[in-house]
Amino acid sequence: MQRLFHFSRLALFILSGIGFTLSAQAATQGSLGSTSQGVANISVTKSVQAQISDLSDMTLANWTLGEGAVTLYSNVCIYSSTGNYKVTATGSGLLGAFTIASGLNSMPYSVTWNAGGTGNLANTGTTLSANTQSAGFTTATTASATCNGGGASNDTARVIVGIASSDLTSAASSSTPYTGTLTMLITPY
Amino acid sequence: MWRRKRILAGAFWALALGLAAGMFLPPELAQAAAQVQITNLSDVNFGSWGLGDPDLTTHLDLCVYAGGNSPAGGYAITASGSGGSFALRNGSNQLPFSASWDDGGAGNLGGSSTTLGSGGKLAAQVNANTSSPTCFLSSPTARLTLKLSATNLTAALAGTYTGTITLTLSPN
Repeated sequence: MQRLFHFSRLALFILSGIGFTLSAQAATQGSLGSTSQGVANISVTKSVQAQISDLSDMTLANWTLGEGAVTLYSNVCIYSSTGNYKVTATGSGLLGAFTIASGLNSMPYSVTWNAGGTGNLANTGTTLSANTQSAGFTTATTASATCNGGGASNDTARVIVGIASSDLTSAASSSTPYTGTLTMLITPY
Repeated sequence: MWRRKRILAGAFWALALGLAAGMFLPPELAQAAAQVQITNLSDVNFGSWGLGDPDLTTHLDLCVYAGGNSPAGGYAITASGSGGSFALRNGSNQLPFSASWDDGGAGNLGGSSTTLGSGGKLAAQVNANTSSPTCFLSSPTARLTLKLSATNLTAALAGTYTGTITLTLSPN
């Protein structure tokens, strides 16, 4: 009987300890008086996230000898809940290489990332290597997930695809176009 | 016999003084002092919000008691956010929230509500409990609704935002 009594006290002690821990951040109840004041704590966590949108396909209708190098670009909206991000670009070539293909024939291209920010985009920037994460950029929008509808004046980055004249010259002629995909992975940090 | 007379005399004077107080003191002093109490508050953790999620809204059903000379369950409520505004904070970053008050009374919450401003007093509220300071532990009389808009959440930098809302109850 004596042992049972001691066990019960121990159990009560543990429970009261838990109760104290739970109540440490509890709301404050008002007390009876001429005025009464209560307080509630509020919290929310905003996730670390990013989004790329407003991409468009980049197409060159035709190329003939003597036309020189080709530059294509797409403005994109980069939203990051931290304002910062890194980009990893992957082509559809072998092992993610930046190539476009027509059947068995392929043609390399380069990818440049311009992180100029809203209203400050250009065709210059950081050269990306296939399948390799870039250095950090700090010009993502934090205000609107879609850059307020996107468009050249609202987007925050530009991806530039370049095909050298020499590569175009040496590429086999084809009745079917050279095509490929470029995948861009945005990672917030 | 003498003891009985003394008791009757004491009762007489007590009654006389009470009547005098009622006749000559202002009514607000002659009656019982107004007493109010707000309880049943709890903390609000909205959890995690991600891009594309909707507005975050929740409510607290509260017990508002107004006794004494606060007429007919009437009261005033003042809500104040930490830092002087309805905003949660993460360092120097802020995340605004809105708050509204429904004084529908026991069993009648969820109807129309009035938007609260931080530090602003919302007077002439009604339907407080007048008989139980704890609303019999089961009959809340007012509802506080808190809302974080998706627009503001989208624009907020990542992180955990915290704050408080303080409710001060007073007689009308």
